[in-house]
Amino acid sequence: MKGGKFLNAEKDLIRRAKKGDVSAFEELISGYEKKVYNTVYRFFNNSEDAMDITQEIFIKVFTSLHGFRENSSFSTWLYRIAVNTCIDFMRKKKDETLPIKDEMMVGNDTAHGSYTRLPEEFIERQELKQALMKAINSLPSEQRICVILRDIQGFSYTEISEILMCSLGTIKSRLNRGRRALRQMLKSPELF
Amino acid sequence: MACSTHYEDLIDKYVEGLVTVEEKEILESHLKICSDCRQEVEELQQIIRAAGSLGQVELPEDFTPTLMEKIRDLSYQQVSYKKTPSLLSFIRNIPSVFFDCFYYNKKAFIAVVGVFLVGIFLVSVYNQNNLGINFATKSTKDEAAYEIAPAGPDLLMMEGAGVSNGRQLESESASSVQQMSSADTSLKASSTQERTQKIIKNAHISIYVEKFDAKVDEIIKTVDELGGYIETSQIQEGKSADSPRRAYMTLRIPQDKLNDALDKFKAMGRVTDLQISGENITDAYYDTDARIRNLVQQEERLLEILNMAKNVDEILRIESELNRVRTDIDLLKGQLTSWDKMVEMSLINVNLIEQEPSKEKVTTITLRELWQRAKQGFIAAINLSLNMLASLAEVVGALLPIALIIGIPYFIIKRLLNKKNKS
Repeated sequence: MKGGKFLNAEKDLIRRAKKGDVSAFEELISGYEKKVYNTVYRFFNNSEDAMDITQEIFIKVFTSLHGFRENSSFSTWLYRIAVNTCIDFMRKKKDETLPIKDEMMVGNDTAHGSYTRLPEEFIERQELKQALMKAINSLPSEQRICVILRDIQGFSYTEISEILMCSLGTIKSRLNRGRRALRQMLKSPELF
Repeated sequence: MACSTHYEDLIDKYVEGLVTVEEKEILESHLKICSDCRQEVEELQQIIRAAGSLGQVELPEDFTPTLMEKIRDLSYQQVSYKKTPSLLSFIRNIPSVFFDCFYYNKKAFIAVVGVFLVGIFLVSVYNQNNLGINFATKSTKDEAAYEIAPAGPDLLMMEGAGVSNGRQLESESASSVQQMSSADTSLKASSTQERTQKIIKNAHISIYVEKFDAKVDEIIKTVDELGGYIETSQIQEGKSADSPRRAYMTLRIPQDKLNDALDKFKAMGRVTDLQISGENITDAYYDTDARIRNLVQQEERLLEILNMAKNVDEILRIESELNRVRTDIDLLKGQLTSWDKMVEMSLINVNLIEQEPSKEKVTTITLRELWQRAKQGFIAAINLSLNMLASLAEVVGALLPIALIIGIPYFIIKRLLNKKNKS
C-alpha cells in the first residue's frame, strides 16, 4: 500500500480516471475490488448482496471520483464510500426483513448463565466459522463494521478511524463491545 | 464477572498485544488467580484468531466484467453531454493542460519550458542591446563622432541600456559631441591637403567619491603613469561640518592617453558631469605657419637689401624693418609652440567632491523623489513586461514551424493508434 512509486502510479490513475478514462479506473480499482467485496460479503454474509452492493460501491466511486480531493488516501476514501453504502443498504434491508433479524436478536438476548468453555479446536472447525460469521452478521452495524475491518480485513486503528471518521477511542470501544458480544453469542447454544 | 469489568480495558489491549510491559505483568498475575478473566482472554483471542482465519472469499467471476460494463455505459453518457465545446471551457482547461503536461512527462515539460525561457531571455537581451545601439546612433547622428570621442558614445550606450542617473549629463555630452563632430567634418574637408590635424582636446569631469584622500593620491599616480603633469591642484575643506571637501585639479595628459585617464576617473565614483571638447585649430595653425614662412622670406630679402644699402640712414631704416619682421616671427613661432603643447597635452579639469560612505549616511527621501522612483519603477516594469510579451511572441513565432513539423505527424499517428485500439 505504501511506497512513493505506487502512490504516484495511483495518483496518475486517479487523474486519468477523473477525466473519464475507464481503463485507468479499471486498473485503479483492480487492487481494491477483492478487499471491498470481502468486506461487504462479511457485512451481509451473503454473496448475492455482496456482489450487487460492491458493484454499486464502485459505480458510486466512479461517479463521485471528481469530488475526491486527495486530502485522504484513495483507499480510505473508497472504504468510506463502501461502509456508508453498506450501512445505507442495511437500513433498507432491515425494514424489509425485520422479522428474521428480530428472531435472531431475540435468540441472542436469551443469555444463559452457564459459561461453557469454547472448544480448543474451535478455529479448525468449519461449522464454528460459520457460527462466527453468523454472529458477526448479527452484531449492530457499527460494531460489525469495526470487527470486520479490524479482525478480518486487518486494518489498523488509525485507518479505521479515518474510514469511519470517528475517534480512535470510539473505534476501540465499538470493537471491544463487538468482540464481547461475539463471545456471548458463540456460547449461546441457539446458534449451534 | 465483577473483576472482568475492572480488567476489561487491560484485557482488550492484551488480546491485541497492545499492552505495556507493566500492564502485561499486572494482568498476567491477575489471570493466574482469576479463572473468569483467563477464560475471557482465551476466548477473545480465539475469536480474533478465528476472524483472522476466515480468509478472503474470491470475487465472483463475472464481477469485474459486469462492473466495467456498467461503468462504461455511465461514462459514455457522461461524455456525450460533456462534449459541448466552448471557449470558456477551453480557457478554463489551459491550466490543467499545463499541469497534466508537467504531470505526465516532467522532463519533457521542463525541457519545453526551459527552451521558452532561454528563448525569451536571449531575445530580450538581444533586443535590449539593439535598443541601446539604436539610441546611441540616433542621438549622435554622426558616426564619425565615434572616431574622435569614443567616450561620448560610451556614455550614451549606458544611457540607452537604462542607466537613468544624469539625463543632464547626456544632453551636455551630446552637445559636446556635436561640437566635436562639426569640427570633425570641417576637418575632413581640409584633410585632402597633406597636413596633420591640430585639435585641442579638453575635458571636465566632476566625481563624487567616497575615500577622498585615497582618490586624490590615485589621481596623482595616474597622471604620473600616463606621462602627464599637474598644473594646479587645490583642496578645499568643507565650510561647515557636513559640507563636503572638494578638490579642483587641472591636469595635463598626453592627448592619446586622455581616454585612459577619463576611464580611470570615471571608475572612481559617481560621475555627475563629464564634458569633452575638441577645438580644431588646424586652419589657424597652418595660416600662422604660412605667415611665418612669408616673414622669413621677407627677412631674407631685407638682409639682401641691407647688403646693398649705401648710407647709414638706409641701413637704419632697413634694420628697423628687419627688427619688426623678426619680432613678428618670434611671436608667431611662440604661438605655434604653445599650440603644439596644447594639442600634445590635453587639459583635464577634475572636480572631486567628497561623499560620505553610503552606509554611514542617513538618507532622506522627499515625497517627490518617492513619487519619481515609483513612477520610474512602474514604467520600467511595464516596459519589461511588454518586452517579455514581445519576446514570447517572437519565441512562439520561431518555434511554431518546428512545432507544426513535429506535432502534426504526432497527432496523426496518435489518432491512428487510438482508432486501432478501439476497433
